[in-house]
Amino acid sequence: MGMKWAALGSGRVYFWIMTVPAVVYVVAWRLGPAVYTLWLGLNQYNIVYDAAPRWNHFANYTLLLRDGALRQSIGLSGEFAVIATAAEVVIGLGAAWFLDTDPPGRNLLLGVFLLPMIMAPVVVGTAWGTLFDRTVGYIPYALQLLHLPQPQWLATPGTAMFALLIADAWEWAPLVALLLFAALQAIPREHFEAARVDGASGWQLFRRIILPQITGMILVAAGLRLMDAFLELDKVIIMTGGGPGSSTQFVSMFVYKQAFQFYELGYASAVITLLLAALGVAYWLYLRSYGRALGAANP
Amino acid sequence: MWRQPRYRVVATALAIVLASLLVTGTVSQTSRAQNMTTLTFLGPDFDEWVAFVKVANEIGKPMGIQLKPEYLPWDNVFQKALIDSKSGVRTWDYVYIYNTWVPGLSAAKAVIPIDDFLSSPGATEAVQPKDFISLTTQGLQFNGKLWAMPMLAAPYMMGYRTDVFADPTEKKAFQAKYGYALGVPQTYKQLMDTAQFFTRKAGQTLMGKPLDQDFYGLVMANKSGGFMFHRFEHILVAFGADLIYDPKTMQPTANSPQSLAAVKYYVGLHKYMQPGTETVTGGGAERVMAAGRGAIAMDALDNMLSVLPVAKLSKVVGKIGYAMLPTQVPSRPHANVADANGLAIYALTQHRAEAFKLATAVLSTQGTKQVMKEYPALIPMRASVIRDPEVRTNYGNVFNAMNTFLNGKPYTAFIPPLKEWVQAQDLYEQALSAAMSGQQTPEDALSGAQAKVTDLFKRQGYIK
Amino acid sequence: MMRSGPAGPAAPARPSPPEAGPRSPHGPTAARPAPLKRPVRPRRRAAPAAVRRRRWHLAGIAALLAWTLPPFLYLVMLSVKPERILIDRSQFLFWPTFERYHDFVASGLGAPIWTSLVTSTLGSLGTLVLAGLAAMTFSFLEFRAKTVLFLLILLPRMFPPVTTVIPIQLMLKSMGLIDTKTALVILFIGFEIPLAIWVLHTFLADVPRELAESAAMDGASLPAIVLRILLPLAGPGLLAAFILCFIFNWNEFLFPLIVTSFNARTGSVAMMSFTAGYKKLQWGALATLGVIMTIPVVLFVLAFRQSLVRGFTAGALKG
Repeated sequence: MGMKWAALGSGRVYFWIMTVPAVVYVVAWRLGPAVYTLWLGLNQYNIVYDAAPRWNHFANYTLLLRDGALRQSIGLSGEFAVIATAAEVVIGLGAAWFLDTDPPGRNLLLGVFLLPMIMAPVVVGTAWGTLFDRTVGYIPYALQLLHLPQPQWLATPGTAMFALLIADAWEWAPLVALLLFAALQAIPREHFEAARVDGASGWQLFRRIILPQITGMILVAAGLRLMDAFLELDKVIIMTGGGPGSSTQFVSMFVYKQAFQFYELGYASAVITLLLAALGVAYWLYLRSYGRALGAANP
Repeated sequence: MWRQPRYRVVATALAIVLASLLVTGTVSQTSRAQNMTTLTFLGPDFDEWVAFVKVANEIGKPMGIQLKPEYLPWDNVFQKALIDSKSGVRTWDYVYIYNTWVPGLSAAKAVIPIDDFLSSPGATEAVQPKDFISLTTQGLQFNGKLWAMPMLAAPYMMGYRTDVFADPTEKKAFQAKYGYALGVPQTYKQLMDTAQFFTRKAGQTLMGKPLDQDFYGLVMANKSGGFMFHRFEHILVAFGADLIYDPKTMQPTANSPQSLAAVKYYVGLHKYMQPGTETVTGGGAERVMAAGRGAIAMDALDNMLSVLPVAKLSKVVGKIGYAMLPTQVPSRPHANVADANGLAIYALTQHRAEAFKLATAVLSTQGTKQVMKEYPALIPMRASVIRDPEVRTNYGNVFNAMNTFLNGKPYTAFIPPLKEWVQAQDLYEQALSAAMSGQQTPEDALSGAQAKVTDLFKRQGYIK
Repeated sequence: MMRSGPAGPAAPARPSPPEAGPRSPHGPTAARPAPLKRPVRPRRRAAPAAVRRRRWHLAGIAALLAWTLPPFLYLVMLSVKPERILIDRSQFLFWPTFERYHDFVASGLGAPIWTSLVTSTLGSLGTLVLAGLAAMTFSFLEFRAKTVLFLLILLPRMFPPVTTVIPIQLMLKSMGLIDTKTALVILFIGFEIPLAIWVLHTFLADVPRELAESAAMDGASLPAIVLRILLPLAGPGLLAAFILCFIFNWNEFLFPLIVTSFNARTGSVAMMSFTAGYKKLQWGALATLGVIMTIPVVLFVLAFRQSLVRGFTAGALKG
């Protein structure tokens, strides 16, 4: 596709003028900082009490290996990411399937459904944080009216995690729905017809025709959400601050606290390096399944 | 392809709206510039500081100074001040300071000590250092210097419902159940009993009348980020424990037997606190008390005074008495940890002279009285203000409660001079929160905190 | 890829609601054939089927709205509920008070919103210029280093904010730009370049290559091709990219929280200052700010639903 380099002739100069600014910008403000983080991870640097970073012989990494709190954070993040993604895929699939049946006002409905993921995560956190609040929130109030047990939503380890999961599912199920909806729309309608003529029921239709066609996209959407949910930060800061105890101290919150509450930028950078490495592997796997999914969607 | 004309129309409209917004905004912003020096204040959104900012603007106007606040969550003020001073941010002039932050902020050279301004007799005259009540201002001192202009003290006390405690039915029932007379708790054992006694479900009776809502034995604020620890620390001290470490040997003692006993006690007491205590600060807790739904509140005196006696916020006006905290270890009667709030001058301020001038004017005897008009619950830190007859008559609540406190001769502990105090306190508070929420047993939680504080101390080279 | 996405040209032509003609012997939608529609087989009991379908649709719509709307309505309600009964949860019906919105304007809290608006707009425009130029070359030229460069630009998309906030704070410190709107604009331009390039790339894929190629054969220079041919056709893509960038910048939280202090606080950071007011019940004011923060987003959804949907679909699949 496209024009060949040679066809440009003297246009080469323009080409560089057009492309280079973006590349330079990205290298300077996005890649550069990431590389600096790698380097900072090898240094002792407390921004408040150290004058300058100083090499500390991988001490950050030895600390990292025996840091129980970090291990716990990674476990919590993993748990959160997996459950949140599962919930989002189920809800998103349901919504996408429903939208695909062409309900009246579908486009407006889609727009409204997308609102949560477009609004600021801080506002999402605030809305859900107050909804779960004992004093003004309607969730405890509804339970009270129904005479159900009244957990301290944001102050009990299990339910604090649950509240964050609900907020995350609310915010991001629309994204999954959007992607799956696009995939559903791409399925040739003749396939349904053939199956219907064969007398397939709704469920069989879904399992035999729809699911195989959109599995790739489900994987893509799930991969996307897994990676983002693993690094969830904004809503945690607003809703629980990592508490109670350390029961919702996800890995991003751990890094945030190390960097901006304990000022240990070196150690925080080492943890980030670890995360980037893990993320790199995840991304590579994701790109592979993404390629497959696209192959399936556009045969 | 897309239908082109429509998107073009929309995009043009969008561009025009944004451009006009940009233009109007720039114009209105430039027109606001006047011949005033603008000082900035980094602080928490507390009523007393809102009052302070208001009075500072009134007093500053004739001096050609205006004050603009930026409010952050209370615990973030400390973090922001530290990070900003290290990042070379020159924006601030004043930083709110809490006594526990003094070692950290002064070690990081984030604020200028008031002593550095006292080179001339005029300056000393303006500050009047001898007028400060040293029991309250001691927390703002570090390395022999005063690091902030003292603004408000906040002794921790109990506020209790006088009507409920005096009720004959309740008295009789209490005597029958516990074997001693109902009264304001003098010991922590009594506090636990009393809190348990007054914890009632909707439908049960209180003072002979059925309750239509739950009633709580104890109302407290336990939000993490310092609020929880600053309520618990009094109990920690009362139980004979160190404040997290022994300043003589620098050995952390987070899991000492006394500390463990205090945490276990607090976890037990938690059962009788109002639900949601873990997510509220003083304001939220006092609203519950003000709604007539609690028997006892344990909080900073000014928190209680700013809500409970205010008719438009409170249903219990005139029904609240104030008392000293209970006692556990006899050698530490009514133990409490000193609490002081001040106004510090930011190290990188661009307006050194103006900042000092305005701060001393607003926190002078006269200025303090003006702030008290805006915030009547202010507990002043100047002797001249407390002695002022006008204050005695107009702020009887403050005066009486303060008298109770000073005459009670409580055992007062001070936060140790450790520049990493806030971090150590965070670690301990996280353990306390884990124990209270049942995430960990008190033993495990405190051992964890002990290990983390030891780690912190080792990294800083205090211990090997 | 995704060219037949929901906002694609075919979407508006999808079948109309069944009530359009439930008694039609060929099913409700047979009268207006559309390329992607799912034809409904003629059935003997067509009316009950249509009714069932309609009930099912209504139930689905209700479920969808019941899932999405309550937190919004709750915020709006809190923001107009009088202070006196704010914590009285049984009271749903009350005379709304707009005091808080008035206070909001009067107290100068508009300043953070204003900062958000200015920095997000300028940042997005900057992104559009840089990313637009790059995207056009990436879409229409084949060259050796293309894949490498493309990956180099798209790679940072995978770095979450928390991973680069430390060095950026130090960089801004050394440039003396901390707590300035300029710093935010610089950062915002950089954040969304990968996203914008990707979105534009997918949109530009719809532009017929032959146009540019024949122009090039005729000896037109690259700037001429870009200005005369590509730019006019890139409109929808640019609009979608702008909206996406704006929304992401508007919502950005961690960077403004760390790198600004007073002069350049943004709306999302101002939200944070409300969450821990000490003595006041801040819920009302908090909800007000939340509603105000959400207004532009709602406007975007209403005005540019299709660009947004298409942009998001493309943007989510950022390679």
